[in-house]
Amino acid sequence: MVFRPEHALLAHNAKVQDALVVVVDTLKQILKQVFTNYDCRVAKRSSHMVEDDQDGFAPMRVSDSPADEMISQADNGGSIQTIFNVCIDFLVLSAALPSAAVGTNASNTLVDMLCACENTDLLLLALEPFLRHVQHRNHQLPLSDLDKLLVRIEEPLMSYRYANSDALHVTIIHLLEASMAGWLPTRPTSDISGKVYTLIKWFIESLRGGKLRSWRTRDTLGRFLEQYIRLDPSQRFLTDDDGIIMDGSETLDSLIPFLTKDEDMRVRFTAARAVASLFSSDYAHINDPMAVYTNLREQLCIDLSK
Amino acid sequence: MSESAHSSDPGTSRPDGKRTKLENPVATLLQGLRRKDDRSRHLTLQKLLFLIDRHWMTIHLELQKEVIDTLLQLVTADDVMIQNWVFCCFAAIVFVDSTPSSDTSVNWDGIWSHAVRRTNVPLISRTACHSALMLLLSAKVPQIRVHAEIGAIIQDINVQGPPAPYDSVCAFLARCVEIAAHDTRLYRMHLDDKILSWFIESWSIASKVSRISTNVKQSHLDQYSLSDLLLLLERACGFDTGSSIHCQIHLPRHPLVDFIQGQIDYEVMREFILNSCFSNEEKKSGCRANEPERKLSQLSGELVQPDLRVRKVSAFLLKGIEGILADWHNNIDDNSRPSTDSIRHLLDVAVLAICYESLLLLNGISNNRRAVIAACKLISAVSARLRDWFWTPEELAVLLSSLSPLVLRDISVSEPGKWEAFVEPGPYTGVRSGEVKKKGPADDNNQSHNAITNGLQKIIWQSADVSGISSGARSLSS
Amino acid sequence: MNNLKAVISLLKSDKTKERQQGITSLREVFARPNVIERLDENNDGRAWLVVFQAIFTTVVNERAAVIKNNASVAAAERRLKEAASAVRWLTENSVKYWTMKVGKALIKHILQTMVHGSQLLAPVALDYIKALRAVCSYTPHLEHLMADEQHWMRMLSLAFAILLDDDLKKDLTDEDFDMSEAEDNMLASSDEGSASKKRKMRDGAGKRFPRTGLQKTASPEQIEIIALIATLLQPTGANLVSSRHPRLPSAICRRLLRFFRHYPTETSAHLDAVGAVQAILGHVALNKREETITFGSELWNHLLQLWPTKSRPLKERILIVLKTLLPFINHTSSRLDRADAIGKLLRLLRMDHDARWGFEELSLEALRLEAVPERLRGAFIADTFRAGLNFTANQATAWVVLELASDAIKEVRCFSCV
Repeated sequence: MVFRPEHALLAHNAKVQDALVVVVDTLKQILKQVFTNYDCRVAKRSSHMVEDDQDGFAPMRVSDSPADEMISQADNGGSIQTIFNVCIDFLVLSAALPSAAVGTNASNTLVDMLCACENTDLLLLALEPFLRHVQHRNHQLPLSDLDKLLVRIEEPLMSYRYANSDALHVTIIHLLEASMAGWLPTRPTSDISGKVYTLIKWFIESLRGGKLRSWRTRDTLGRFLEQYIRLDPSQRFLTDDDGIIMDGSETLDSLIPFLTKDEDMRVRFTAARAVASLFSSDYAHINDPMAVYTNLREQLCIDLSK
Repeated sequence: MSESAHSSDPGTSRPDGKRTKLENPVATLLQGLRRKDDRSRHLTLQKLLFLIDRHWMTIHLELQKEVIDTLLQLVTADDVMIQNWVFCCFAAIVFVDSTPSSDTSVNWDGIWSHAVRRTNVPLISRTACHSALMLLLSAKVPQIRVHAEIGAIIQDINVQGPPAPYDSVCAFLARCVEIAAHDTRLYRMHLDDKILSWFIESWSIASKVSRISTNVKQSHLDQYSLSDLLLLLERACGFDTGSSIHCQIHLPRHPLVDFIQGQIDYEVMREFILNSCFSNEEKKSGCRANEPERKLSQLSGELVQPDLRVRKVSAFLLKGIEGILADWHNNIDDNSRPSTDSIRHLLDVAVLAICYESLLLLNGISNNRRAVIAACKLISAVSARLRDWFWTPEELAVLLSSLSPLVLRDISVSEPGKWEAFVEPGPYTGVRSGEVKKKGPADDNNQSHNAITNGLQKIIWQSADVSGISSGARSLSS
Repeated sequence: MNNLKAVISLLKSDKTKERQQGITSLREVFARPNVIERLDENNDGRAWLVVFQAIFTTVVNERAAVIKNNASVAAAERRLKEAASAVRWLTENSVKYWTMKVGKALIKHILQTMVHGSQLLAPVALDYIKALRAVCSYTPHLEHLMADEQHWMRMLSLAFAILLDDDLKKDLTDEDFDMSEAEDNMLASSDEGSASKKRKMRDGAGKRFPRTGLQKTASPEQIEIIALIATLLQPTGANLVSSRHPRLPSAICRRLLRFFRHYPTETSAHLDAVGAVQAILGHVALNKREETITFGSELWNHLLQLWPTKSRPLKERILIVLKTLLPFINHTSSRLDRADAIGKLLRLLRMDHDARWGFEELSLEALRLEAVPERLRGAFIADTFRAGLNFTANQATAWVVLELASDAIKEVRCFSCV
């Protein structure tokens, strides 16, 4: 966007430049500080609590969710999220509104910073506002950045600690959903789509195998599927050059009726909506609408509220 | 059946020993208001406020009138807090009440004159302005009266105005300016000028600077946010294009907060499960329809010179910030750590100045360069300290969120994870396109809000020339 | 490492002296955090299994001595208790450094050892329940545990049996659960009576939960076990509405109800008991309408009775549960005398006005006064006011109380209009 010449007046002004440089710089430092130091503080505090309990007769009373091992999340989590929100809003905007003179290198540093965060819990908190910006197209996520994020986020999926974590699963699905516009046009042979494809396949198999225990994960997956069918109604992403589904695995549209029979109401509700939206998207028109209808009707859940 | 179920319940406390008769709980509330105990009356008024907000329409007309009459008797109570809560109740009633303004059975005029009379009473001003504003927005009071009294209040605003630019005070005065702009008599009184003078008098930029080095432990923020002040300034300066910046409010982290969020998320499903219906209730209100439309002015043509009002505000901000800067350099060293709320105030002032000056450009008016520079200097000075001093995450969150108007776009609408009952009609739904468009006015509205905020932020960031930031970022990463 | 080998062989010894020495040196060795951090360098859990197996051997040996019931039973009990406490201590300190491979061995050992015949083995019970809690409180373990339904279910079943002094061998989903329902009804009508007779027969010498109508304090074991129950019910992945166990939700609800009937007045166990109610409602409220209505109707008065508590965390949880249940107990199929039930709630809320330990009142300073645009609707946002910059957790509580009160008033008005 070209602005009027009057802005040159301000653009010249070194002091204004400096101010925002200082702010962005500060926010980066703060983000880095939180990424590295916060963990230590949490660790210190929780080991302290265990020591307290050694005498054995004063039962440790955790007034908040007992399952939450990051105890201090209860009091600090909200603030950390706020800090992340502001920092990421700033860094995203500083990358998204470049003047004509510069490229978009700043965005790389943001993704690099995120990937460098070693604490996965914090990474998940920080990714939340970031992915919202990607989803809303405030931030263009180049494929190279998506690749870095996928590599970073796949790693804990293999670890014992996060393998079954629904927070991680939900964030991965959000990442796939937010970056969909980027990876959909890629060819299946490319490295990036291979990664995306593997993840999607992993989720399909986990879902079919009953391994996605948390309704929240299945619900997020249902929303992802709705969005996917909307953008890729012929499911070209899953097919090879000959138009055949890769690996003989199933298509994603068949999962929506599967989710309408989920055990949790919340997932069924999302899936029911996704079914309805099939008819307002191109999907029902690329395929034969009557065939789509008949197929869905046969599998429809009879009683939404059971 | 109910009796047998009841008898199987073990020892629940029943203070009166036996089952009490059904009572009318609203009548009980009203009785409670006649008690002598003030605290108890506050709590009862609060309950009434929530009842009005959530369920006013389920109360039948006679009882509604009784409630209003009781409140009208209490509005002159000695206790300030009682008056405050009564005004909150009035505001809520006016907002939800849908009786046509021709219906004279409710004494809206009475409420109006009570509210207007107290807009400048120190401890009541906030709530009084709030109910007065709701009455203005709902158009329940005859225009002639409104014009006469607005003129009278603002005529004296410099002598006897509201104590500070609180949230509702700003909104009320901004609305008054708007009304005045459409009435020749009021227009000639230069109310906007008077309001600006009042603002400059009552909003003391420097008031907190003296407290820079005092360490107030409990952070306590003011009763207004930046968007309130900016709204008042843009109306009083007569800008075509408003800012609609969003100052986000962060809820505390607590199981109850998560719980209530969940209750709202699940509401659609709960309704369906329990009552087999999808309530698509849209609260009708006279107030919303009257929200003024704002146009995005054309970003073309020459910048015009600022008029007197605009220059006055710029000068005020500049002078204030320069004062703060001098104070900052004299008082701040590496050892003293100022309190969170004083730092927050400094950032607020600076951000306000930047937003205001950028808003001028958005309206095609050339701005005060020195004010921008001073504000930037202040932000640099303060933000350099944000990482030096050790803040707790809570404090840091409070401080950083004051910067968010510089970047924040309102994206709260499409938070993920909501359950919605209906799919928006699409091209294949078979609904005529005209109907489809009518369906989503909220979305349209929101988009235009977005665009404007976006415009403001573009100006802020372009003015700073992002090349500087990016090169800074590069040097940082290398 | 040599040191550790020596400890392990001491623990496995068949001489009591050496085993005791083994426990002492175990505590010495693992008191150093870096030993715990570095023990399992291959990261396959084997090293931890070896250590745990060794100390399990000690426990099993001491347990045998106790059960033999020889002359020196007091000394044997003391040794057993020490061994169990060492298991718990090691678990709590090392819980983050091993996987569920170790965790399952631990859980299996605990579940087997803790029960003797049909009752709890007193010397180990408290330590072992705490050890279980330590395992389940670490989120990754809990997440892996839920993937293996069998262990999760067994733990939950045992926990409820301990809580209510039921047959420890029975599972939650066992067919004859209707028995306990019959028992419930008897209890409800004639308080104790025949039910306590049946218990007396079951309770042996080491009976720890005297079951008379007067005894209304929860034992330390019960306090711990209800916390464990709350932990197990909490996660969104807990499989509580599975079609494989259609009776599970009502089985759990019934047992929680029995707890509230046995302990109508506040004990230290109630905070987690209400937490467990909150957790189960998170699963069943939207999925099992009828169960929720029945559960809610029967629980309602118990909750109201607890409302005047001076414990703020407890009161907040009760508030959450009441707010969740209000639309359910008010449903037409509810068996409750609805007008009376809601009327009682309103009276209690009114009595809070005078109570010194009631919740803080809503403050105008914490609110923002504005006409809130429709698109910003959300939590703590009303039409003409919303949470403001100074909105604290206490203010949130005050807000929710007012929402509850106004909803209740509306419901009572609906009855009185009819």
